[in-house]
Amino acid sequence: MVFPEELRYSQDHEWVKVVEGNKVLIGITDFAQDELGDIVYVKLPAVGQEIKKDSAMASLESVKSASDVLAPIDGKVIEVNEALNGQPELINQDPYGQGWIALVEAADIDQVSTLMTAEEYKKFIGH
Amino acid sequence: MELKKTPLNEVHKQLNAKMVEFAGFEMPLQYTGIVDEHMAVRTNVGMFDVSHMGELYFKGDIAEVNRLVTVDVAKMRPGQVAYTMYLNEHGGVVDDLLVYRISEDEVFMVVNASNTEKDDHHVRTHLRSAERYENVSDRYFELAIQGPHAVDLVEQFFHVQDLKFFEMRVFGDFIVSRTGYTGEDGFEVYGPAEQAVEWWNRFMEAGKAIGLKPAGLGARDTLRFEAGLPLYGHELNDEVTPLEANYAFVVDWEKPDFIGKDVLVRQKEQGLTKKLMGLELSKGIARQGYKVFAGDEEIGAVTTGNMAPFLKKSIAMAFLRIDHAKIGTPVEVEVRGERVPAVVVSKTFYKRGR
Repeated sequence: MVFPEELRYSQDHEWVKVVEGNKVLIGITDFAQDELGDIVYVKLPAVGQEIKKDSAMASLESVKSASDVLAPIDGKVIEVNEALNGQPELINQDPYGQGWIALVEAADIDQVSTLMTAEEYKKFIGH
Repeated sequence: MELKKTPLNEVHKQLNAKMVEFAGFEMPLQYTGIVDEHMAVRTNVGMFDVSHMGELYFKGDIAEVNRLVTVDVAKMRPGQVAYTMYLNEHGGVVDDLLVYRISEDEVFMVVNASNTEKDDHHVRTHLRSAERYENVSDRYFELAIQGPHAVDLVEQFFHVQDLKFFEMRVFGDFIVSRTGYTGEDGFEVYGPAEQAVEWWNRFMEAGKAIGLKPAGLGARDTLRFEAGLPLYGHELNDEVTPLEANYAFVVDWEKPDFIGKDVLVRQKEQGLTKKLMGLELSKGIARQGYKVFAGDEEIGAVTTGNMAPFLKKSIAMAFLRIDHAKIGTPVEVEVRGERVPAVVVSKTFYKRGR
């Protein structure tokens, strides 16, 4: 399982990547996609939607179950990964790349540094 | 309570299967992934350890065991298998099962793991006589080898290619039937529990050349669901009749009597109030218990729902009030707080070409 050093991680298994300035990409971790199993449906947030830390911003349906993606920070959705509508399996195949969920404008970019580092996240999930 | 294990438990762990609890057993949920295993069975061949299933053996007067099931066992030739149900006095489904007519005076009944004890009790309660009756579940392994290429694999060990669907043959201590729970051609192999590992390995080795994949309970569930086959506890229970569940074909109406028949006859005359149907959703995924609406009225509930891996459609089975159960009727399913448009369809979502 892979946990890139340049990302930050939430306890709910989302990752955050600072793209530039206060723009961040959000997705779910390799660990999360493996636990969920085959993802077959993604309910994406709406562009323009305000997201609030620890509140549901999207939901994922795997063959086994449904689960919410909790926003790791506060912000506003500026773009969503439309490719997931036709190919939800991208999250399983490439969770940190083509499986990204939303591009978000962070309300307070300093919130990102309060999230776990890769090292801390690995310990958190017991790897 | 400690989980029971099938004789293949260690084999699954060596294959790095994700293990889960099911019906008191520790069982493999998946090896490579549910969708991957599902597709292997639809397009090639997969092998399932289903040794958790219950096996009940009866020897004696066939009329005795015949009272317990909806099919007329007296009309079955030795070598025939039938899909049937045990009903209670109210017409409710005690369990669904396969009945194997082994010989003139012997039957082998294969029941759900979750119901083995209940069924054993039900059978014992209603049998008035038997030369021999026994719950032999612990003595047998069961492997389900399923998919369009299953016959190529099984034929290497057992001569079965001439068997028709729902026929069986005895090979010493083994029983092999052309049956399954996937909607594909395939076989179910029963043998002595102590030989389970040996036979699993034999099939895996011989299957390498044709791409045999081990498949877990996850794919077993999505395969049966896509083919519109019921799972006890979802589509069937003690309070639903086979007519309501829309599996009336299991009932032999000409059969003089069986437990629950009078209730079914009455229900057939009076008409049903609800019926199990298929639904196709416009988006989202339905799950067991989700409510179905027509306008503001709640008219049913989902029993199983998922994204069908082969058909690539969001589908569900649901009990619907009879006035909204016609194919083509528009309804709505409440999916995680949102009303999603759906349409009533046949629950035989997938049917293999013959």
